Amino acid sequence: MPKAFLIDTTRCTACRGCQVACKEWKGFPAVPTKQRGTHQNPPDLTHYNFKLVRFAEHVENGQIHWNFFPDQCRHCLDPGCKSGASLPDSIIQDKETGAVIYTEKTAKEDFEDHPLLLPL
Amino acid sequence: MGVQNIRLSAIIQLLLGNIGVAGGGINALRGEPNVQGSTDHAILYHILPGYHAMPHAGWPTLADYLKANTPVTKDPLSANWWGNRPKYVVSLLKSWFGDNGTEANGFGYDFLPKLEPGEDYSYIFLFDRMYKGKVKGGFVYGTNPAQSAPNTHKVRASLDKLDWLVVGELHHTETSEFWHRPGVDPKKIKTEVFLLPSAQRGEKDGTVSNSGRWHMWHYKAAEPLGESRPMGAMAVDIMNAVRALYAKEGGAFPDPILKLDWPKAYEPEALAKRINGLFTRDTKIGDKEYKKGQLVPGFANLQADGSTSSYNWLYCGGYTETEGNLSKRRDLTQTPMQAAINLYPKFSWAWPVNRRVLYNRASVDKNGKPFNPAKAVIAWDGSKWVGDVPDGPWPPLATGKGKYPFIMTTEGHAQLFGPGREDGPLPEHYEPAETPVKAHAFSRQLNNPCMKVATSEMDKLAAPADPRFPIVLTTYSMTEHWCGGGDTRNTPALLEAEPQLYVEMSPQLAEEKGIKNGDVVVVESIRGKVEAVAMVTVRLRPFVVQGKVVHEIGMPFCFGWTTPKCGDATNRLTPSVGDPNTTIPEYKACLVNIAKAKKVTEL
Repeated sequence: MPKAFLIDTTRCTACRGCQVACKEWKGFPAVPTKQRGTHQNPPDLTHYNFKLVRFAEHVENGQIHWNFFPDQCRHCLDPGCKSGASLPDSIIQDKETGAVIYTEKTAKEDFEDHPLLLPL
Repeated sequence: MGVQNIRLSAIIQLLLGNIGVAGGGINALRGEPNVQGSTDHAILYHILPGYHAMPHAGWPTLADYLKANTPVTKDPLSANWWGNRPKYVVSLLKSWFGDNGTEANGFGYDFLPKLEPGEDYSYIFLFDRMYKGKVKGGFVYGTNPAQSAPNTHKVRASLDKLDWLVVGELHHTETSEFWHRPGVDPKKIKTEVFLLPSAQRGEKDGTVSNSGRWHMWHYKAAEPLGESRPMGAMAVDIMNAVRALYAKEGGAFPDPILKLDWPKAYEPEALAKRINGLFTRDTKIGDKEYKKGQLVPGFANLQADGSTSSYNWLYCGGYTETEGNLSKRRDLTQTPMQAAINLYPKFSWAWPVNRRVLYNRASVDKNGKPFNPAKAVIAWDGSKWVGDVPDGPWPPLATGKGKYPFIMTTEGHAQLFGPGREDGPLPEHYEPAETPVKAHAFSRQLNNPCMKVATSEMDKLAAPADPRFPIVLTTYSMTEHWCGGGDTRNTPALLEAEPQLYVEMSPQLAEEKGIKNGDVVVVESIRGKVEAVAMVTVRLRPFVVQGKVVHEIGMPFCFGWTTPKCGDATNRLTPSVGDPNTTIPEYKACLVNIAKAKKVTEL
């Protein structure tokens, strides 16, 4: 049976515990970052950041809205990255769980050409 | 302003009857580094462990001290709990001096250093004395004043005046490294600095106390790296070496050192027992007999005759002969009544006597019936109290054998304003020491007349509405970094998430100053300059104060130069001004100006 992540973004306070815990669990090194005028760092998902909290803010009717979105691979039912991949079996989908899995071949894909490709 | 707000909130909650009830109190957020536990154990200069006044020269003997600090009431309905103070103070002295603490030397009171009455020995004035060359050396354990103290330029210059400095730390910090900070020639610094590598929290056993006073044991998860050791071990071993030197060479006044009952080695479990308290000789209390060395079962058994010892009366009862170290309990069982207010009496242990809600008899009427039965904290069932541990063992007031609920005040009643405060009695709106307005909107008194202000030539304050510094700066912590950042800036995944010092400002201010999001700006106060990355955000909005637009900017204070290119202390901007009662620095408001940086050196 396919499984999915459910993230209740209404409860998210942008503590980024998930972002840091994910990379520590996987033993990934830190990537160099700079303060660029936002709390969102690194700017995007990377090979060493499978989880990233995105920040967005705006004013609506005088009210400030500050929204947080913990982003990650969504293991789509019909993964765009897989259909956009140029090498056969570089991205596979596990039949049992629905997990979209990157392989050693994924690294050979041209990431510039495939915006849907999450760098997992 | 924070103090005035908290005082106002406390008064309102008291008037509403929201003290001693479930969900009551004001629950002011305390700081992160075990503030409750370290305050209980007297990390501050003005108290001894267990909230007893620090001895001063006006109280030369124990009798003088106890007379001045033990309140008396003639009202039989007032428990006047501080009337027990002599038992707690003598037990504390016995824990320090053991058999050497005798009635003849005030159980060791004669060995204690005495303050000068009225002198302020807090952080701000400690560094003021150091700056003026009156301090020769010292120990800094797990704190980073060259980063976290206000007016950091002065703090750093003060450290230059020391002959020696010992720093117990996990990492190199702005304090341990002050002698080669940017702009300073190490050859011109005379201070000899010793860095003692400390074990990290996860590398040692010990306790923390939360704001609900739960005393919780934490276990060592890994061995300390390299030569690093728990700070407790550093303190115990250094003192033993000092004692050996005094024993060999003598000294002007060796008794306070040599007559200590000092442990041979640092052992957290043994220390926990001594905090609880031990009988110093075979003792009979009522018809119960206790052997020398046995744990004192609770602070009601502590004595003023030297037969008991306890490092801290509040924690007495937290370590028992039958159940062991109660701070290790993780049992979630509770009665339905306790479940209704999320009270877990068997999870850890709370001081005093495992009471989870202080003044809980204020939640019941004279017959012991809860004012709010659905959220009852305690209730009298006709023969005993049920629910939480009641605030005193007496039956309800209506029985004629009860006591007023506010047992820690002399009169037994709550106080709208406490006697003995420097300012007050009622809260008042004051402008900060530095304010963007010239005059108070509705009072002739602009600032708090009792605020404490350091007065060296490095302690400049901008005049009210100083046109050179029209912007208000506030400072704060962030989730990713802990306090001054000495620990977390050395945790790569956290530094990745928050890598550099920023300054949050409104789009209106940014436009006025020609600053774009992500530009490096210079923030300047009368005390110093700081480089930071502009974070232009709608979350900050200009205020209109007395008809004038006032901009506020906000900065974290966790970035320091020992982490390359992350920025340096925001506290170079903040003033050495303290609250009248506690001398807590005014980090939350000062005056600055900002401009786009012409040259970037710190980031």
